[in-house]
Amino acid sequence: MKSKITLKEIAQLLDRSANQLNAGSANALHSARQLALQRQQASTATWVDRHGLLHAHGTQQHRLLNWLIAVIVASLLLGNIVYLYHTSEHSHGDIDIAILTDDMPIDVYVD
Amino acid sequence: MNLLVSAADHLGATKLSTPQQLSEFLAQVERRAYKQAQFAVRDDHAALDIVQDAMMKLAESYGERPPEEFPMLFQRILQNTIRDYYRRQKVRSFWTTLMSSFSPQHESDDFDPLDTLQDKDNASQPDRPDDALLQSQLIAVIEEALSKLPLRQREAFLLRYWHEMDTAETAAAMGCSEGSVKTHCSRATHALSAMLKEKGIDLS
Repeated sequence: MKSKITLKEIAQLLDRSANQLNAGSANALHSARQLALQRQQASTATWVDRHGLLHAHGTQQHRLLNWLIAVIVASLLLGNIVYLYHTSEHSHGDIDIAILTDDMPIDVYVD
Repeated sequence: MNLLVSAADHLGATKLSTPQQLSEFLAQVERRAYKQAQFAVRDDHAALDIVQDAMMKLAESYGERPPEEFPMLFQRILQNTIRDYYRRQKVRSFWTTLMSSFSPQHESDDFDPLDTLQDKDNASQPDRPDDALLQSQLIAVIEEALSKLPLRQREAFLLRYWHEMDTAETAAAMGCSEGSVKTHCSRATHALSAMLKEKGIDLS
């Protein structure tokens, strides 16, 4: 066996060992890689524009969905505010009419 | 290249990686990653599972990141996956020990360190049988010594001297300071040197 060895030679031997993997392990690694790549394609679909920049379809869809949710929440809030405003106005109107017609319920005077 | 990336970032567009680039990267690192996991867990099937997990995590969570970020991210994920495996093993061994104390003591054959020394049947051997034998013996001795190193020392040693990362890159991949990387590397080299010396090999 060799009596002297350097760190570089250790690295070379480790590389050799990695390249001498048995067929079973090499196939398993290949399958693992394919599986991982499928996951990537499932999570984001990408395309290249004419400037060579890559865009992710998935991220745009997510962004659109976020905007849609924000718009729905905002419109619900607005609707709620408008409804509350109208109902309170209506109840004030009832009291005003009651005051004018001297037809106030007794509990109004209790306070 | 960095300028281009930062300019693209500045304009609000990042150059993302393609599935082809990720595939090339994984093909390039998968064997080394497998060996790294094997040194750490000393179990072929567990090592394969760890590498597969790490590949999937990279693809799922960081698959669209710029390709130059892949090596660091993958190493970080791989180290974390190995650590998760250790944690699970620790919990499992705790319960196994607890349960075995209630059962009769019939020790089956557990892990034997000599198993790692056995050379696998492989077709790619050097031409001369003598050289092949010597080389496989040397590889076995080195791999045995590496698997005896503490986890962090082995990580630092492999990243620095096998993956040829510089101290800053190793520190980023390991999530520690550059000073810690230097300490781990120095200790690993000393320990490795001592273990190889026992076998009549001088590490210079």
